[in-house]
Amino acid sequence: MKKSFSIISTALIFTIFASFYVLTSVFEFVYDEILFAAGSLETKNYSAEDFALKDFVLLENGSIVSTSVDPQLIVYNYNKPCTMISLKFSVNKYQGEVNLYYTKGQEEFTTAQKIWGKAKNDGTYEFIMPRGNLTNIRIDPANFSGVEFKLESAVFNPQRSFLSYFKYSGEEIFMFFAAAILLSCLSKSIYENFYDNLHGLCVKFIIKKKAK
Amino acid sequence: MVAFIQTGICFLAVCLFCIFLIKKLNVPSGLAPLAVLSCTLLYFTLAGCLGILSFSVWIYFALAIGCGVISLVFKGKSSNALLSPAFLLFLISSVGLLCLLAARKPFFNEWDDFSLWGTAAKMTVETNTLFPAVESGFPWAVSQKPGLIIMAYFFNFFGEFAPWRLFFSYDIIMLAAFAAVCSCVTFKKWQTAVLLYAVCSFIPFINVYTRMIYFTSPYLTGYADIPMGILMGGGFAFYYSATQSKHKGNLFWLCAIMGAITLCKDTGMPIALLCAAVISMDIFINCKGNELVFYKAVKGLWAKLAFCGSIILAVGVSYFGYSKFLGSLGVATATLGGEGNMSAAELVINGLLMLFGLNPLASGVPFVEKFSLVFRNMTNAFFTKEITILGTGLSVFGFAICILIIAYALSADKLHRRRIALFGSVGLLSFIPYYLFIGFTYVFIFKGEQGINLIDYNRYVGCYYAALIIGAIVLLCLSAIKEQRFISLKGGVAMLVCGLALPCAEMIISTISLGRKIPTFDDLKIPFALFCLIMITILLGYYKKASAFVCLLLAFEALMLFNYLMPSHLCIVDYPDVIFDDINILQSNADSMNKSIGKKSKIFYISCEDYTGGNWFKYHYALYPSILDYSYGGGDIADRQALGLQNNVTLDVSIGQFAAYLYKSSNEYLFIDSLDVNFVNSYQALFQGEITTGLYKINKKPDASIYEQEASGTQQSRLPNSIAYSDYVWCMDNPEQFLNFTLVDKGANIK
Repeated sequence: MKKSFSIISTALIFTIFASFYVLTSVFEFVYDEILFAAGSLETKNYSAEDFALKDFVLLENGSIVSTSVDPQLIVYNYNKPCTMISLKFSVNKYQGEVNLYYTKGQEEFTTAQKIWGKAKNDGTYEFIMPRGNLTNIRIDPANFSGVEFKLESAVFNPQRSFLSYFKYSGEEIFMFFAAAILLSCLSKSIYENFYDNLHGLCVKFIIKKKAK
Repeated sequence: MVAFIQTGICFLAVCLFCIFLIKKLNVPSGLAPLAVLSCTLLYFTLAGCLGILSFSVWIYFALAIGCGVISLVFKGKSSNALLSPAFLLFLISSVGLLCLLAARKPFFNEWDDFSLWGTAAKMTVETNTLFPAVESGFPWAVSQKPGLIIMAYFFNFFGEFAPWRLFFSYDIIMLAAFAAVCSCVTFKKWQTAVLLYAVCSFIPFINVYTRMIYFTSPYLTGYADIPMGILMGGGFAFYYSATQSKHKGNLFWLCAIMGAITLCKDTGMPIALLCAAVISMDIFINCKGNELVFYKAVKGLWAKLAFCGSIILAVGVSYFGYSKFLGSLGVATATLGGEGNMSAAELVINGLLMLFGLNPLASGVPFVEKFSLVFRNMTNAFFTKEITILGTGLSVFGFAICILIIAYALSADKLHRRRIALFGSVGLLSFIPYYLFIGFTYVFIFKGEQGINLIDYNRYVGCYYAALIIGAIVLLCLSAIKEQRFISLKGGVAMLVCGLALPCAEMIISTISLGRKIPTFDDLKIPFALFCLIMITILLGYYKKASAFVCLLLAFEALMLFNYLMPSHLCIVDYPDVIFDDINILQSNADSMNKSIGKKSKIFYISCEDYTGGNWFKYHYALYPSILDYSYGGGDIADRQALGLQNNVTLDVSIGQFAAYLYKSSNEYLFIDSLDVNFVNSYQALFQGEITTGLYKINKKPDASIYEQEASGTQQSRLPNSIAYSDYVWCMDNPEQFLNFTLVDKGANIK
C-alpha cells in the first residue's frame, strides 16, 4: 500500500484536474447556450461608427485611418458578458500587432488584462473573452500610423463551436501541471506523516497492552 | 519536425554518455547530465580551437554510440542506478522543452542576440569554424568566450541553424544544473526532488523585477549571463551532492564544470574562481583528505591541496588556452579594451589602490573621479535598486540566508551544519570580490555615462544571485533528506514559526527596502487558499517532516511570486507568436534576397531610419552567409554640402565618396532598407530610374580614377577606432560613368 499510494494518488489528482478542466468547458458551453436562448447574449456586428475612436480618422467611405502608433477602437460601458469577439478587416499596408484589452470595472487598461490577437488562415482575429461582465473593451488593431482599415466585420458573441471551448491557453496548461504536481507532492507528504504517526501510535498501544 | 528529430539526435548522444557515466563510472545519475554537458562544452571548444569542428562532431557521435553499447551490453551497475528522480526530471523536462520549442519556434528578440550571441552561433554553424576566425562585416567582440555558442553549434549540427535550437542548448545546461541540485533524493522522497526542481526552474526569472509590457526572455535568449550563473550554482550543487556519494572520485568532474563556467562568458573567469574558492574552502575545513581518491599515495593535506589545485588549474587552463587561440588569430588579448584599455591585472591593481584611497598607477589616474561616482552608485544600487523578482540585492541575500538558516536548523548532521555555516559565510562574502570586479569594469571598461549609470547592472549581478540561491537550495535539499533534528512536537512548532518567518521576512525586506507595492488580496487569492490548506495539514499532524514542509512552502512562494510578477503571456509559458512577427518578416526578406543573390557575397546596407544601428545588426544576422558591409555604421546618409542642408545628417558623404567606397570595396550588392528624400536627391545619378527600397546589383566599369580627399568630420563619427580612422577618404569624379545600380529584388515586405 505504501509504495503504490503515491502512484495512485498522483494519477487520481491528475484525473480529477483533467476532468475538472473538461467539465468546466462543458459547463461554459451549456451556460452560453442558455444565455443565448434566454437572449442575454446576442450576436452583434459593430461597424466603425459604433466604436469610440482614438487616434483614428473616419473617412467618408467608412474606412478608418490611424493617426498615431497606438490607435484604439473602444467600447465603453459594455457591462455585459461576452464570449468571443471576431474581427476581420483589410488594410492598405502592414498593420503590426492586433491586441485586445478589457476591464472588469472602471479601472485603467493594463497588460494584465490583455489578449493577443492571432490571425487565422482567412485573416480573421478571434479573441476568446474571459467569463463575467466586461466593463470596457478596447481593440488595438495597429501599431503604425497611416494604416487604412476597411472593417469588414467586428462581431461580438459570434457562434462558437463546441470544440473551441476545449482550446486551453498555455497559461491554463501551465497552471494545470503546476497545481496538479504541487498537490501530488502535498498528498504524498501528508500520507507519509499520517502513516508514520498512526503506525507509531499503534505500536505504542500494542506494547502498552502487552505490558499489562 | 525534421529539425526536432535532428536536435533530438544530439540530445540522444548526450543521454548515451550520461548512461555510460552512471553505469560504468559510478557517477550518481542526477549529476551525470551536468558532467556530460560540461565535458561536451570543453571538448567542442578544444575542437574549435584546433579547427576540426565538424570532424569532432562525428567523433563525438561515434564515442556516444560506443559508450552506449558498452554500458548496455557489458555488465556494469544495475539499471536501477539509472533511475533517480533527478535524472528522470531532467529527461522529462528536456524532452518537454524540446517539444515546446520545436512547436513554437521562438526567435531572437534582444539586441545582443543579434550583435553577438546569435550571429556568432550562426557563423559557427554555417562555416564549421569557431566564430573569431570567421569573416564578419564589422569589428566586433571576437574576444568573447565561445562555450555556450559552441553548444549551440553542436545542437544545430544537422540541418539549418534555428534560434530555438540555440535556446534548447542553453536551457538543457540549466536543467542539468537543476537536476544536480536534487540528485541526492531517492524515490522514497520524490516529492522533495520535484518541489525543489520546480523552485529551481523559476530561478532564470530572477532578473525579472516587475510586471512588464514587453516580452521577457528567460529560457528564450542567447545571453550567457543567466546560464553562467546557474552553471556556477550547478558547480555548488555538484560538489555538495558528490560529497554525499561513496565515490569521492566523482569530485574530479568539477574540473570540467569549472572549465565550462570559465568559457561561458567574459566574466566567467572571476565567477569560476570564486566558485572554486568556496569549494576549496569547504574541502579544507569539512573533508577528510583520505577520502579524496586522488592517487593512493597522496593523502591528507596533500590530497586536498592537489584537488583544489586541479580545479583552479582547470580554470586557468581553459582561460589561458582560449586566450592563446585568440592570440594565434591576431586578436589582442593582453588588454581588455574599452575606455581604459588596460590588462586584467592592471585593472584589478588600479581598482584596489583606488578602493583603499591610494594613488593609482599612471594608467588609472584619469579615472579617479569616475571611480568614486561609480562606487557610490554601486553601493546604492545594492540596497535600493529593485532588480530581481525578489526585490533588491539585499532581499536576495535575505532570502538566501533564510533558506540557509532553515537548512541549518533542520539538520542533525554536524558535518552538514558546518558546511551550511561555511557556505553562509564564505559563499555570501565572495560576492564582495565579484561586486568589486563588476565595479572596476564599470570604471575602466565602460565608456563615460554607460559606466556611471551602471548599464545592464541587473544582468551582470543577477547571475551571481542565481548561483547563491541555487547553492542555498542544494543545502536545504540535503538537510531535507538527511537525519532530521526535530522529531518532537516542540521542534515542529519551532519549525513552523521558522518556516512562516521565511515569506514574512521576505515580504518585509522587500517592502521596506523599496516600498514595493504590497500585493493585494485579489492577486493572492489562490496562493492564499493553498497556503491555508498547508496550515491545516500541519495542524493535523504534519510536524514531524518539517523539511518537506519547507520545500512545499518554498515551491508555493516561487509559484506565487511568479504568478504575481510574471504575466504568462509575456514569457515562455504562453507568449504570442505576434511578438516575433517583425523579425520573421525581416528574416523572410533576407531569405528572398539571399535566394536572388544565389551565392555568398558582400552587401552594402542603407537604412535612413535606422539611427541606432539595430536593423543593421538584424540584417547582418539574417543575411548571413552573405556578409553585410559595415556601411559607415548605418543611419541617414546624404550629401549635405551639395543639397545645402542646414540640419545634421548622421553620415555626410558626397556622391563621389560614396561611389569610390563602393568601387574600391568588395561589395557586390547594395541593399536599401528604407530611404528618405535627402538620399534620393543626393545619389539619384547612380540609379537607373526611380529609387525604391530593395536589393541592387553594383555594376562597375573599369578605369575609374580614384584619389584621396580630406574627410569632413561627421562622416567619421560613427566609425569605431579599430576600423582605421583616417583623415582621408577615397573619392572619384563623374561617378555615374563608372558605377551604377540595377534592381535585383524588390523584397516582398521591405518597408
